Amino acid sequence: MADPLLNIAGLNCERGGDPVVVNMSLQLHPGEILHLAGPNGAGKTTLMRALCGLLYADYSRLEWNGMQVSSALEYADELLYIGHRSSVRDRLTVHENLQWLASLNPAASLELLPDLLQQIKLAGYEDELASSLSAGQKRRVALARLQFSPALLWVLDEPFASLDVEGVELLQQWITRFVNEGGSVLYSTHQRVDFPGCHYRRIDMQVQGEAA
Amino acid sequence: MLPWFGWASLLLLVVGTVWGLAFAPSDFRQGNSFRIFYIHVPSAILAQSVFMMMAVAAVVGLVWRMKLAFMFIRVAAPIGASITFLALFTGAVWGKPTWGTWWVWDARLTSTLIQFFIYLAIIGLFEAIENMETAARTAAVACIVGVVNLPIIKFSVNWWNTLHQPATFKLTEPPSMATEMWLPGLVMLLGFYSLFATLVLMRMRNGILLQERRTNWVREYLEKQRVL
Amino acid sequence: MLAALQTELLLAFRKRSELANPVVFFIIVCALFPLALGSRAELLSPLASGAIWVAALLATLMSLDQMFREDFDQGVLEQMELSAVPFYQQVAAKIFAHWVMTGLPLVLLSPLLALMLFMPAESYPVLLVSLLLGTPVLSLIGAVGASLTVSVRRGSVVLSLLVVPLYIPVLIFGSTAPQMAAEGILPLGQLLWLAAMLVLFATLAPLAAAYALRVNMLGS
Repeated sequence: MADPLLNIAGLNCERGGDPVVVNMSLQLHPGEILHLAGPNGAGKTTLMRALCGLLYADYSRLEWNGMQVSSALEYADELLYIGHRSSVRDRLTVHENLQWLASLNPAASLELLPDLLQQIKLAGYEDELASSLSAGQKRRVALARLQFSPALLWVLDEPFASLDVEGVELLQQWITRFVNEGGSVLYSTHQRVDFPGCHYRRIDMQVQGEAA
Repeated sequence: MLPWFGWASLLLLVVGTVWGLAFAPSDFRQGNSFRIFYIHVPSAILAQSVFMMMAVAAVVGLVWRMKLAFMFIRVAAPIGASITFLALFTGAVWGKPTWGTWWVWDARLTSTLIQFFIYLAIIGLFEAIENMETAARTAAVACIVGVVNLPIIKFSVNWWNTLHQPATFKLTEPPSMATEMWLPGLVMLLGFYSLFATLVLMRMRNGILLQERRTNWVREYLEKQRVL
Repeated sequence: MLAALQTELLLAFRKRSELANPVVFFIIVCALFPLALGSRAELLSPLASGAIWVAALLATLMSLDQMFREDFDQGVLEQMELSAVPFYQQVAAKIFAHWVMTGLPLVLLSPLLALMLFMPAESYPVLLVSLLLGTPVLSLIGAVGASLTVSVRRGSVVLSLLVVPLYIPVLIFGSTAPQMAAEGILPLGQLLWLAAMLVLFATLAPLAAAYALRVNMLGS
């Protein structure tokens, strides 16, 4: 198998002074879906944020695409992180939000925007302010950027939360297509979502300190 | 190391105080009120140098990621603030008999007051931010920003002062001071420095123990000290 | 960078009702001075530039707390940080938008208030120039303070403590320049100092603010 896209060893992170992730190793290959499972408080969000460079963490090894990197920020523009918080700006319209999200990466293209709005069922809402959207609609706007980003890795924290059945199916399709094209996905969810025919792996995380 | 500084500060401060208050000749113009000099000047000098030390520690901490440097800022800031307050307070007490007023908007007083505010802001950052690492780093940034701005503040206040106030009060030191007068001052200054070192070391010991409270060596140490 | 600037200005414009607060505040504070000090022209005219500058400083101070708060809470800043556009440039765009919506209106309103406070006519151009150079410095220094305290709930006390001492040089140079102009002296030195501070903080403040925001993000 080719080099892993992300190879990390000896990862430690804290949350509020308590160790949450202890001496963890993780490899993620191109074309692979990695599902982080585990109870609340097991450190799923902490781990994801640490991998994106949004949290203090120490590690003994951190490699991106086979190259040693000193900080997660060095590959930050090659991954796409969508967290609990919508990162949709309330005072911008749907269209302006998508434009803004696209402007975060110069390589992003907005050519397929009308089609994309159809897909996320927000056609006709382009000029609505995001503050008037429902939670699920906002999440669709945030997720829409998956379709115009050139990232190699998607890090999705509870991406299915507040999506309806159709939304879940759509995201499933997107993830499947992305992975088949050689992308990697790291996501967490408490829902049952299957990816038939994909290279799927699950990591069960435990709450630290409970075992003892 | 800690007891050495502790004893040194005690000795120096006692010697300095007694010498300064009882034996040094009184100033021919100001009489005995001049003796407050022995507290005022060392504290004023220390107030400034603690700030510089904090800024150096901030750079060290941010560049070389030394946690101990942040710890220094954390423990030194309240001490620096108290010393600055002491300098301001003794200055006011000294000013009353000398100038006939508690406070003048003198350049040096004004900038010391501003410095006092910056100290308070740094303490405030430590208190307000829950995450220790974030608090330490933000306070370090505040230290550096403060130091970058300090000369500008000093200059502007100086300049503003000469503009607004004809030089009625000059806080310049008497140009020639008798040896028997400044020697106790020097002793006091050294005493203040070692007191500062003592306090910092004591507080840093507590801080380190608190920060590393989960490790084994702390547990062993505390058991040895029969605290647990 | 340009796209970020465009977005930030658009957002600032959408938030204009919130950002009108400092302007209203500015006018009210200026109106309070004659009420407290007496309405005689010979009393007010030497104080006019000081009053306007204090009001402008307080109005800016009031608006700082909101500068990054919302974007920080909604996870917008972390997306900016992860993006391919350098983070400090996006922060600089936000600071500029902040100035356009708070500082600039104050500059434009100041002649009116100067008139109400009987400022001598010779001081008007100097007042305008001093505010034009000085209010961006207020926004820049304020941005550093706001970013340091962005994760502090009700951080306005710490924020004021932090920012006000740093504002003092701006206040001194800014308010004395029109006074000197009234005495017939061209306060070139003060205006140059303000310009120098503008250059200094325009280069340093976005970097410092971006660093401070990042530190706050990492700890949240």
